[in-house]
Amino acid sequence: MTKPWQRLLWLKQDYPDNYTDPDFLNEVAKLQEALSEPQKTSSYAQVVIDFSLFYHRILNTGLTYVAFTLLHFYHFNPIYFTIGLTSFAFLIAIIYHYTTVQIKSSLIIIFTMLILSPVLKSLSKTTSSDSIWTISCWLTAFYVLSIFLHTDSITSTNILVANVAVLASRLESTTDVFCFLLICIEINILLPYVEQSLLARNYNLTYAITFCLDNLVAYYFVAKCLGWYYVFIFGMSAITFVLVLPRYFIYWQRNYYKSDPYLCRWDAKKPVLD
Amino acid sequence: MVCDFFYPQLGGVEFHIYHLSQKLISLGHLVVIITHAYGDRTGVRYLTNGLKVYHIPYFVAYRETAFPTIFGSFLIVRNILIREQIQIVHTHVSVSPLTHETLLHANVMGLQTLLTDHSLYGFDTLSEILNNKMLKFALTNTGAVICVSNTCKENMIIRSKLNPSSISVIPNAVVSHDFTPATKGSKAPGEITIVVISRLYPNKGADLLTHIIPRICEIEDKVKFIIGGDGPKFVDFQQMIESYRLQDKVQLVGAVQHENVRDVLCRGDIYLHASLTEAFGTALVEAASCGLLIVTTTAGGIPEVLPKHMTVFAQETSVSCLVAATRKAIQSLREGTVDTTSFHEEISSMYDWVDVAKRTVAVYDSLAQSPMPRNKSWYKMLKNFHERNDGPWAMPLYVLCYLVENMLYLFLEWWYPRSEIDLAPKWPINQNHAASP
Repeated sequence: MTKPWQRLLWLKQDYPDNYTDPDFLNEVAKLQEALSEPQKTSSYAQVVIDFSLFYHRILNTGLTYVAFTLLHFYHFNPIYFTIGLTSFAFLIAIIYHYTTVQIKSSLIIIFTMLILSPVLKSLSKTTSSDSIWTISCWLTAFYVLSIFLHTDSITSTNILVANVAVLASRLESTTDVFCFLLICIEINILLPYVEQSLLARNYNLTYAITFCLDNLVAYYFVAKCLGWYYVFIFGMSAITFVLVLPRYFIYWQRNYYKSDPYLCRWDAKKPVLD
Repeated sequence: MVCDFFYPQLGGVEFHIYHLSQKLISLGHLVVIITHAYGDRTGVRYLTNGLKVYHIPYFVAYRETAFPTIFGSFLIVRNILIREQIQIVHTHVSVSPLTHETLLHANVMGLQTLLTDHSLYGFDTLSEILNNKMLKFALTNTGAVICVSNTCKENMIIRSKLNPSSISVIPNAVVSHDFTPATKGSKAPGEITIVVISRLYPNKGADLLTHIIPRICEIEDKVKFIIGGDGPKFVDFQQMIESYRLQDKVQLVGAVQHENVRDVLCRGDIYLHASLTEAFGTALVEAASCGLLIVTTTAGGIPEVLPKHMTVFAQETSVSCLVAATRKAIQSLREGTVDTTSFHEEISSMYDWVDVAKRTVAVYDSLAQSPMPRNKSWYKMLKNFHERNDGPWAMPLYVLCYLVENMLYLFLEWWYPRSEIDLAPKWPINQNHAASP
């Protein structure tokens, strides 16, 4: 009668090294069961909403280029538009936050930008336009990535300002630079903030309207400048991103994400610092 | 032996390959190691006892692993395998691209193959998913797998979906005469020294240690700490010493060369191991061999490694559990309820490289007995890939890669025939040495 197998390495046992004990097999069978069980997945609707939120951020980033093209190619006079947008922003801030609007710091930021505008305008003047477009393209890509990775980080704001600084030298006057900077900040920082607070307060209808308006502005502009062919391409990409990719996400979640605690036994354990 | 990780880099895997090769040589086998070039260490090098190492010049992608190319290494690996008249290809570590590629090449060439895995892996990050797919591909036609612990075996079964009976468990070992206990007597009575030697990384429990040490220093008097090792958390330890004013109780010795580990270990009575993940835990065996009482977590394969009387386990990876376990160990040492003097003898009978080599040879023999031509015919291997059925993308990709590899093999046989490859002269086997390993 041989001794039963024990799961110990230091003990010399009368079993070949590839011996597999029934107990061990049971354990493995349990693990495989846990592995093959359908994993809990997020609901499709929720994933679609999350994807559309991110799509909305990308759209807001796209509006930067709408503003830039208007100023650069169409020589649009930005003063009235900027005044309108800024007053609107103040109005919304007052409505939302009542007394806590920090007029003083806002004014300081605006005046700092006013002082910096001539510097920004001449900063990359000697660089050729092709280089500017390339750098701006990469900065936008990094900006989207930084939004994707850390929503609360200062990095994304820095990249945004860098992008504006690069583009500013192609504009005609210092006023244009100042207005462009202000518009960009309002579109990329204040607008998403307002939209998120709309969602947080369950003003879903208002949010949906802003979402549609954003889309309308962006696609109308694309249709005007580049033609319907590009609208079709952008639109199809957006629809794929918002409606089809979530399906793929859920497929990955179902097949590869193993949330079962039983399967986490090989992961590094969490240190409890009590 | 094939692995991305080898000398001049030092670590558990590297020592494993080195010691196993040495013992295989002394058992009368011929061993050649293939790894990638480290800095100016390229070409062929010889180590002790004629252990031949090929350093292939490769682009290193990430943390000393070669850039994965699937087919790129075929020409040179084929040449080496034919030159050295290799019969068995033994690869190490399941995250090394060189390992995966060589397994594929050797299988196509009809050689016997096996893999030793040394670590535990998860399933749900992108790199792990990718690596597990690669592993499944590489292991489809591999004859045998060796794991260093039973936990590692479980992990391997789940990751690669292999038949459990083709996986052997052969633990690591220690060179026990390098880890002899100190001659005691110079210490003040009642004073206990606790040693920690580990790379100071988060997964080695560095955060736990910086919380445990001040607490133990506060509760127990006459306790000292010696901390060896370096890493990103080193600053945290310095800050801990500063903020709790532990300068005369805690000594940071920094990185310890492997040959000096024994001397550092011997200055202590207790070895504290707070690692959060571990496949085997060679450090524990080394410390026990030096006659230290072990306090450890139960992560991974650790509970299998040492008998109960040598260890005090902390059931959870929490500060309070580890503090309690450490206090228990201190108390039992002070009361003299554990006798650490016998540890060295016990360990040297448990873990020995000669034993490991013999068990590995047994795996080689079992491979040689398998119905060889039938298992390695190209049609059978293709069928194996097809039957893997590992998702809609992976299966065609496996088959495609395998077919391309086969075509490459036929092309190489025509372009650079076997008859044109010089055979390397073999290192003379030292008969005296071989007789008494």
